[in-house]
Amino acid sequence: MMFAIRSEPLNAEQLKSEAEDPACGALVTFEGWVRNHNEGHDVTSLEYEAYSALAVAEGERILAEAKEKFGLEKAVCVHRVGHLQIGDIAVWVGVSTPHRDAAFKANRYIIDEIKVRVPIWKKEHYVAGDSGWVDCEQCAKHGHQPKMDYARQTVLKEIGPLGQRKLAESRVLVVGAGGLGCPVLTYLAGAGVGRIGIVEHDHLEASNLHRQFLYAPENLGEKKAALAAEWLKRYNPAIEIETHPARFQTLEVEQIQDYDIIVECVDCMETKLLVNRVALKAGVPVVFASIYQFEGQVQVVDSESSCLECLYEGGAPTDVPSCAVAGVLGAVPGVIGSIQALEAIKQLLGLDGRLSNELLIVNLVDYSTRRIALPRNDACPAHAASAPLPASVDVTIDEIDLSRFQVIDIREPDEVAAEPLPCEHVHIPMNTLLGNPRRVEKDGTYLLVCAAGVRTRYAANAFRAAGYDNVYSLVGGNRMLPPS
Amino acid sequence: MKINIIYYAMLREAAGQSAETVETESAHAAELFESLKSKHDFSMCRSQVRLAVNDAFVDWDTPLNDGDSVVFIPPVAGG
Repeated sequence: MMFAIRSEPLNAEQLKSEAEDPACGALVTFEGWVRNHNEGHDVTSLEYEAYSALAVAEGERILAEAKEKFGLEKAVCVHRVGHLQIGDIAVWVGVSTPHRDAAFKANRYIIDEIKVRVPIWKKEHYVAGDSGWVDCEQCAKHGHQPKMDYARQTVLKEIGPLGQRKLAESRVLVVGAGGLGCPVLTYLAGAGVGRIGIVEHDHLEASNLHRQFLYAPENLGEKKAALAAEWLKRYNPAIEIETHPARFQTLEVEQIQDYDIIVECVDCMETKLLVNRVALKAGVPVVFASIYQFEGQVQVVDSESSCLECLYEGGAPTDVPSCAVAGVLGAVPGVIGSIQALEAIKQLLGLDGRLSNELLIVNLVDYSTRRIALPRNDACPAHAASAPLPASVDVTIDEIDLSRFQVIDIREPDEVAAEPLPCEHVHIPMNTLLGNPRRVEKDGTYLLVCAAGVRTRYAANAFRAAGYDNVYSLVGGNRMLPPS
Repeated sequence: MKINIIYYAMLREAAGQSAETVETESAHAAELFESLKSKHDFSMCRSQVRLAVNDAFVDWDTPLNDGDSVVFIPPVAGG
């Protein structure tokens, strides 16, 4: 990626060679020339002036955006400054991509954005001998960025200027940019939530469009996360939009903790259950919603409340029909997603009537709603898995949930042969383990087992000293493990 | 005794109605569900369904009283 401002004439052939990439099947170049007339005046020459530092930074940002959106391999853009004659090249853009469609789109995107966003001004010299600064698009926009006015919502006593400021400082992660996600994203952006993250790995399909109004048929096959972000940035330029064009499971806990609340809008029970587990672990509240034909369910989960697995006690079902199977009319996720957006705002601002320890069921056949009390179930496996781990190195078998640990048997081979462990484990003799500390990963949780708990205490302490606080020693040794 | 029943999602489809009032002698909700399951030919079994009585989630062995409102809620995941 290269963006530059140059005062010497541009050499198109040389720039083209810089934009070429042997791995790409398409190279699209654009040359912007100085022409001999503009808006009825005969032009003899032009002068370009740039605010170089800012122009280069903005230009590089535009190339990076194009790379992300269109999968560019190479992009080169150079803008002239100084005095130019008719026929000189004023701006040159070249992009290389594997296929032609993306190359055309990317080139068009870059030149359009450059014209609007990069601070470069143009003065025309006319045949009549006079000259004038041209009202370029940049001059029109610079400093006069139209903004959203929140007056209609700050007049609400529940919001007010303080609530508005709180929304501007809030960070919301929206998981899924589909039928529920479209209204959620739109209303959160419109409300002025300062930073919105979008997790969506899918590409746009024609069957999405009837209910997913952030997208258009011309974008079929493109990444939904980028398309949604593009629309939301236009809709509210004052807020920050982050995209995670991947599955939720690829996000690190730290990335999730960067948000104040999650709004879960996914069409898949397994993902919902995963979001539930991860959010409990991360300590970030979630507004869940699901729909089935003309009905919706909404539930808020935080570390104090009942959770999705408390609802489905005794193991949550995963063979639940999706919209593809059950059918869906766009307005239904429209209503339920709007409720989710409202609930997220209520949660962020601590407003009255927010959901807590209950399931809201909305029936759009007869327009009835129900709030069903759902107390927290302390025996629920999701809560058990998110409970804090002991601080001490030594743990007894009674105080831990063995299923949360990866067991490492550090005894010698003859001891293992005499008394094999009754549970799932790996065998790494102590000296081998201490010699290869990388066998232990920082984000795992390990229980070391020996014959009495003495060697494991020594080994676990050695790991702690090396910065691993996730390695424990089983008091009493292998005989403490329950028989299989 | 009379019990008011409310159905959601797949159970509403199978029952062909959102609600009905039934006259029953079922001692608890599990028994009531089983009788409705055979009446309406529900394909879901009890372990897949959550039960609420008078707008609170309860266990299946909860005894029923005249006039109770019973809601059967299957899991849903669409979005």
